[in-house]
Amino acid sequence: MRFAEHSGAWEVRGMATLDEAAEVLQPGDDFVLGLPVDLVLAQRLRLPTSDPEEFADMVRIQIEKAMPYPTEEMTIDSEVISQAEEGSVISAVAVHNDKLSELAAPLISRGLIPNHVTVYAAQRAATYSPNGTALLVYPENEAIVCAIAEEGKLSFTRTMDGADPLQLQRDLPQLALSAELQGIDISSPNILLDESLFALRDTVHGIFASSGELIAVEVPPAETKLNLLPESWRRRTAQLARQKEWRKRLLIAGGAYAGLLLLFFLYLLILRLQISRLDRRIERDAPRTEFVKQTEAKWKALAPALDPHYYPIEVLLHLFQSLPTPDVRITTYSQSARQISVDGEAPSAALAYQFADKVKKNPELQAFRFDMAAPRILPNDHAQFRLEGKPK
Amino acid sequence: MMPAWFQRLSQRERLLGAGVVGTLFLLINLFLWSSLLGKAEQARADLAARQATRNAQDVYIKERDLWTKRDEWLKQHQPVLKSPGEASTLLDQVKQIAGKHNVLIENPAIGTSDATPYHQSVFASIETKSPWPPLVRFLYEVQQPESFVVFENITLQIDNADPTMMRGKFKIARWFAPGGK
Repeated sequence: MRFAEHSGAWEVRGMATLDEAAEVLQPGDDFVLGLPVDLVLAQRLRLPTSDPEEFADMVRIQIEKAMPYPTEEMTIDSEVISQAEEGSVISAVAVHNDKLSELAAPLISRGLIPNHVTVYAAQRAATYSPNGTALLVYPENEAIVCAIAEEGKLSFTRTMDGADPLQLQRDLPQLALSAELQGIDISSPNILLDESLFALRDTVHGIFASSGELIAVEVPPAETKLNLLPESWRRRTAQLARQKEWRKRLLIAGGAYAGLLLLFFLYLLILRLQISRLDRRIERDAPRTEFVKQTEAKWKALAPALDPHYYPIEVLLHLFQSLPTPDVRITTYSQSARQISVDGEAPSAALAYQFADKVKKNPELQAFRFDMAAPRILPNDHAQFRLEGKPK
Repeated sequence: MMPAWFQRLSQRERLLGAGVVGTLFLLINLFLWSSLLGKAEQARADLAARQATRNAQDVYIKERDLWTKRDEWLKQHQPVLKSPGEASTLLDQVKQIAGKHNVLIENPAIGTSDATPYHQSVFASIETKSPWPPLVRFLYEVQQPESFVVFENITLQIDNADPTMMRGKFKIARWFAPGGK
């Protein structure tokens, strides 16, 4: 049974085998495996201690006596039925790991590991009779299970072949006697009869003077503390959880990486779109600008004839305006259509540099880029310089 | 669930496999990202170039009227070369201006220069000897914007023999409209 997908109510589906059940489960699902009674050993133990820390070792020793397997091959769990100063009554349940693995093979082979392994009889007892003593009679694997529970904990079990009233009439008194021999008070048990065994109601009434209460499938079953989950399954579950976590991290990292790539491709696409848009605009306006470009080129080529900034008389005027003192003299001036050369002499190198600096900063001479090499110092300490200008 | 083939691998084999896969992943990423970053850089450079071109186009479009006027002005004012005698005419004009300002002309010569897509020219080369003030007036009068006269070469220096005099060498050209225009 499971929560229905949409309503949140419990949905009950009957499955004949675990193979069928495995079909509806997914790895990682949270589910409980309820074991049949014939797979487990359930014992009621009276232990001479009330210290819970000692229970595990004592139970292990007792179970080892009762089962033909070493305890390393078994999974054992126990629950306290009652406690007093002189001792404790314990419900101990053990299962052989190989048999459990064999039973759960259809699940395990698909990676379906239950979170909790318990006994179905314990679930039914915890559900219908959490207090007092109860006798549960219900069918399981084409047999009849008779289980006695105390305070909702399983303390005694028997399996009978077939649902024959005569056999039940013969076996139930023996079961009651065996239970009493183990110290279970069976004088007025709560009789819980599965609804599918309604036909046996009179038989039970004849033995226990109580017709019993009919029970159906538990919706939902009560939780039991009894857990027979083997250690290897726990490790496997933890391993699967770690794998799932890593898969999730890898998925997030992969998603982030893919997102980054996508963003980068988008960025490239946007750049390409912008280039294409500009190309279209440039191509559209090219005929309109071609004439302007040609005219500009022509105007620049004719600049020495048209632009007074290139006229020698203008250049000479601005050069003379840039002389820092009348002592700085221009001795030779040369100009071609596109180049100027000024030779001169200054009383000192500093004045030569000052002249060059003023020429460079003269707004009317900005059509040229002037450079001056280091002046040559003459024997009379004057500085001979050459200033060269080229059109920008 | 892990694939069966992976479960069959030993821990050492898994580590080795992870190393190989990691190295491959890094190499592929190195190739991929260097390629992508290269493309992005190229695209940014292309975009910057296109933007510069477009900005220049915007300026051209804004100044279209100005350049149309300039083109018209050039068509109206740039002289047309009618005959090879233009060089002689230019020399005569120069001589006349020099005479007007008492600038002595020596070694006159005329010729034609190589044509360019924007002009064809004739020239007159002269040497001068004069004080500085008349030379300035001569330079001023020879070159006016609408005359399309260009000093293609000019050298001025103080006369070694007489520091009050200036010696000059000039190649004076007139730039005519290119042929066929």
